[in-house]
Amino acid sequence: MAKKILVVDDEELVIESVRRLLKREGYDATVVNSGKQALDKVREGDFDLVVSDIRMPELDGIQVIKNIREYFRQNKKKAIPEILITGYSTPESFKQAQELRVADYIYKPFDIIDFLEVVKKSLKKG
Amino acid sequence: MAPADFSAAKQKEFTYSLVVTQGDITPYGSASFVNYVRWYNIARDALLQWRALGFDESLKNSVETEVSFCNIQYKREAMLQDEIIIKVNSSEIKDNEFTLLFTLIEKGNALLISLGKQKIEFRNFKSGEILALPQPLIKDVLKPIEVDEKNLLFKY
Repeated sequence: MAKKILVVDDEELVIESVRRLLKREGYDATVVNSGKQALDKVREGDFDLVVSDIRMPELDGIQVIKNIREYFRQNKKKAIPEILITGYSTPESFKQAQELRVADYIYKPFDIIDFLEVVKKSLKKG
Repeated sequence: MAPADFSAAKQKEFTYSLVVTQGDITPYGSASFVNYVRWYNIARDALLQWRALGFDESLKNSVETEVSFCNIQYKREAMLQDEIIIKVNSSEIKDNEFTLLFTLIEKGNALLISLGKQKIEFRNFKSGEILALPQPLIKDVLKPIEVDEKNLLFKY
């Protein structure tokens, strides 16, 4: 069965490119453009991996991941790996990703071959 | 987990930051598109400030940068006082030309403002001759930020 991946990014160009890429590689990708929608999707169904942008209006990627983890904890569900992506990397965002202990962290514009490798590696951590 | 474990630790790019000022904007409050070109050129010149690196001493005052191809995609407007980050990567590095790829984002929310591409060569403006790229420029300036354009998330 295809691995289910939730992609959260407010950049239309990114989510469309990533969705097409993941679909082409045989993944079942669900894309949403806000943190709130991401939480709704997580409540509706099971995912094997979350890929989230850090900088988003209202709910940022760090908070999205914290909320997803809290939802899993409260509902005694198994945690899933997360990949953070960002438009630009700062020491602060690096530190946040490190403290969150996400599976991986990558910034745009990334190489899609590298990205697929990151997805594969992260799925193995699940 | 050490930061080096993250894929981002291996990613490389040259970045240049600027702020949109009064002189950049139209009466409607947003930066005119022509400024995107100008900003790309500023970032390019900052990257290539050492373009004389490796050229013969006799050529150092005769080298000019020539853009043989340029493409710019508008994604959204930049507004007064926006902080802009221009990320620059190199691609298709050949003996006498190379390509620079520009990703222009707004720092506050990391939204994409524009994508740009320039194919660049160096010319001896005295003789008109296209010059071979010096090895130190390739090795120390271009190679560290090289990407394979066809594999990138965005199409430039």
